[in-house]
Amino acid sequence: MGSRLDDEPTKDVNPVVSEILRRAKTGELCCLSCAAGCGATDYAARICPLCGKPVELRPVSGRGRIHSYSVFHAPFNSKLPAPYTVLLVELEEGPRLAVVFDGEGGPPQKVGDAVVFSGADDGIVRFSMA
Amino acid sequence: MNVARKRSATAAVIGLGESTFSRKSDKTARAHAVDACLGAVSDAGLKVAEIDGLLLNRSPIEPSSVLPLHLKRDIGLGDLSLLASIEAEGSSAIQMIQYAALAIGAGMVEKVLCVFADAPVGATGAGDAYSISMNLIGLDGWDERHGLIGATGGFALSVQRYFYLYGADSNALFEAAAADREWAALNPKAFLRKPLDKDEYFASRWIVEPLRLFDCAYPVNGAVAVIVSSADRATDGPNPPVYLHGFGQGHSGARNFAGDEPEIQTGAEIAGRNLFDGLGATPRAFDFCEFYNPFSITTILALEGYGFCKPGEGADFIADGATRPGGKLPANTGGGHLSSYYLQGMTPVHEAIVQIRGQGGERQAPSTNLGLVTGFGGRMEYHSAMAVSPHRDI
Ligand SMILES: [Zn+2]
Repeated sequence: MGSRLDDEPTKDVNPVVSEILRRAKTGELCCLSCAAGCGATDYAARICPLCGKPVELRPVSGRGRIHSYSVFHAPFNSKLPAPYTVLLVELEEGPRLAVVFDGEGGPPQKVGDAVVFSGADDGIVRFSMA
Repeated sequence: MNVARKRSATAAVIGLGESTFSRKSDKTARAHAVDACLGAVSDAGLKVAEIDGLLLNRSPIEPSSVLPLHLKRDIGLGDLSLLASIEAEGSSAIQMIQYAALAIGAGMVEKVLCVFADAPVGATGAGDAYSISMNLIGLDGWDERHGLIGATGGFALSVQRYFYLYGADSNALFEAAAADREWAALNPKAFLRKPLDKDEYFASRWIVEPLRLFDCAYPVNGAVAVIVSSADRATDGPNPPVYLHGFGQGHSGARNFAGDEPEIQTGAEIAGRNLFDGLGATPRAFDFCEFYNPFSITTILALEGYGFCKPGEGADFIADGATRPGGKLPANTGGGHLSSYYLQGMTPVHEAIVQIRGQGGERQAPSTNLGLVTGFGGRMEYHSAMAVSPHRDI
């Protein structure tokens, strides 16, 4: 899995993922949204479930709440030493995204807590407590 | 049994075969499949030449070469009128039986062999086989990049969400795991038979928090095969028929989006409705259940999703003894995925057949007029259920 985890997105990465990561690195988190204006869709959508038009990337506020989370006690890649916490964040625009919790060692996270996009310097999108 | 609509089954399972179940990587899935298929043919009192349909199912994380259509040559099958590989993850075992029953009912075929085989346990255990992405978010590579790996990672999110919604904690998971172990103690073929001590459970290592080792399925290498026949010819063989009275599939459209709860919506609410509506039955009609339960949380979600208890009350239902030996609704009577063995959709199917036949020995449920069998795959995205009975007419 090493090549897929390079800092710079490479050609073998899904182009939508590459673009999300490129913009996230500049401080702008995006979600998929109906090009015809129906609003945000979930990240798995390839067309708008309401009108069938294409979806495109649109910036989001970066604010959200913890919908759920899990703590991994074994490492799966070199960039994420264990333990690390994966948050399933519900963005205030509606979509849910898996991100890495930026705040290990701080107060324990809880479902429902407000969190905010804190960066993606190493190609991994992180959220911290709001 | 309390079925509003009188019905007569058109198909039945007449043969059950299994390979050896092993924690050693000494045989391929394909070789295990041959053993199970030949076992099922023998169990049904048939000759190989009498099989005219074959349905295959392999693990969703394995390539098709692991269990190819060429399996028909390995078994020495002749001309077939039905052949397909079914790929709906953990809901496939029941779906194979459903499609076999439908094809038989349509006059397309007479005797259909349905087989699942897998060999996930390698030299270093089964952990590597399952350390893959489930692509929960729906962006290729995203989950791996963010460390969200394996079914355990996905189901850990389900557990945490369930805890939040219902104020539950790890004690709920312990009850589900301990109940399965009580049944396994009565099953000589179960792999984990020692009673599960509470301290031992809480001391077991995290796989992905909040899931501990004893919350997770016990994988083995092996295969299970069944033979589906028309009900008219079901009593020709040496074993009591297992009549197939209804099926329901339910593949949830829930998204990772505000308002949806894919963490706890198992598809049971859809499959159950389809099954119960077809039968004219309510959950009260069932005497026992064999759930697809790769994680302790999934038995709790199944009891709630099928309406045996209210949402949030599954753990209390188990703790009160309802599903345990001697309870009013025996469930996972062989020990289930956690304590007997994990061969995906075939674990609950196998145990249901044993129970309907009355071959459960010490673990035989007192009443088996109607049993519920379930299967699901993905993170509960694909779901199937069936109702089985020793009676052709209910
Ligand atoms: Zn639209």
